[in-house]
Amino acid sequence: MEERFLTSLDIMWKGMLSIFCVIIIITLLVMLFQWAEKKITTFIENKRQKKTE
Amino acid sequence: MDFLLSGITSVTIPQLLMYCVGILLIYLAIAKGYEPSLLLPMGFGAILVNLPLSGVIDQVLPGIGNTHGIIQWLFESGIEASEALPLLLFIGIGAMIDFGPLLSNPIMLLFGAAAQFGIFFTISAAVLMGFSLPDAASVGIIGAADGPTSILVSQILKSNYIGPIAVAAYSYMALVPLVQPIAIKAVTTKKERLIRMPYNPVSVSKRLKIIFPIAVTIIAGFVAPQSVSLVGFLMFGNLLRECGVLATLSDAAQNILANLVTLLLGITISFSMRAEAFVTWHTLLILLLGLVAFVFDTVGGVMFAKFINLFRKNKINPMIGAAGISAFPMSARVVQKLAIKEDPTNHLLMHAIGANVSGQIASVLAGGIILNLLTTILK
Repeated sequence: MEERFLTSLDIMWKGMLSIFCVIIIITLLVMLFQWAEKKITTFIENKRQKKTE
Repeated sequence: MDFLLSGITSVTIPQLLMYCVGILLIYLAIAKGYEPSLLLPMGFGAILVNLPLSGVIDQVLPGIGNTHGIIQWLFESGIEASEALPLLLFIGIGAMIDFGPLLSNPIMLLFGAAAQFGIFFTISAAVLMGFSLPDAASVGIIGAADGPTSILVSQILKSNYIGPIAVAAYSYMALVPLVQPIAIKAVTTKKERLIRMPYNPVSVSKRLKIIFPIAVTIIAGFVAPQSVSLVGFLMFGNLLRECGVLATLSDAAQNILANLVTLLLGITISFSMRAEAFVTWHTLLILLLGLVAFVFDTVGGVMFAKFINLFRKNKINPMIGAAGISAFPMSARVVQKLAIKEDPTNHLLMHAIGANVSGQIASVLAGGIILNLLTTILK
């Protein structure tokens, strides 16, 4: 019983860590993509504005 | 006259109890509106499979031999052999989810992860109550607040309690509006519940909405390969929705597929509600542990929000953490209702929906990760 309980605690920290790892990677990727998209859009708009000037 | 009475004379007391359970589930579905699409077929199925010599399960008839029953066949081929029914349902669920509110505020993703704490807490609690590790993990996954995930994980882990687990998962999902407010109020102060959060959504491009399901599948696959069937089918459904060129398939997944599979899943799962498997004191323990899982999911999410607030200038209302469970959209509505109750001008719905959608991703991830960890440990 004690061994099984210790295993369940092992599952607890490894499980929570794995979920957070995946979720944090996804969060960072989404933020990075949004940042890059914003930069690219601004860059293109600036370029277009310069051309028209 | 024996041939007329053979059925009624062979009814056992556990079978009579199961008729009461079946009628109770049908009552809850019809009168109370608790998850009727699942509880009603399960309730009717519970009566069907517990009739003496029921034709819906395999029987050995004198002079004829083996006969096959439709519900047992559906269970063996649709759930036991391939886990096809719960997985197919994920395509429909994925097609129904709009990740827009989450992508416009990606920090909400973290609350989905935190609100899975109840799953792991319950696994330990179940072990302490004497359940084996695979059974404890199957019971813990009730905390995913996601019926198909619970059914799938308990089936893959060959749990003996798939029936009570399915009943507990769907019942507590329906009871979220009753369970969550009590848990939230127990771990928050009035001052915390009054915290306001301005909503400044960032516009989400179509490109991001298409890339998101693909990226999530790949990342989840690398970290927890066992989660790929769950996450993959969920994200495949979402890709159908977001790609913009498969409107009819997306519509079919959201309506025809989801309805058909839900209908079959409910009546199929009733195979595991045969009296000999269901009427045990373990069923009561599982119902109790299911409640523990939902409460600690809520507490985990709220406490994580409080923890994050230690480092933030713009505080997050801790109730948002409670919306990180997968019960969509009930959980987000509960948070919104509680916020309005404290201050009628404090609207948290959009934040809560973001966290709630994140819970749907995190719950399937949790299912896959548990399978991954258990297969590694039990090797």
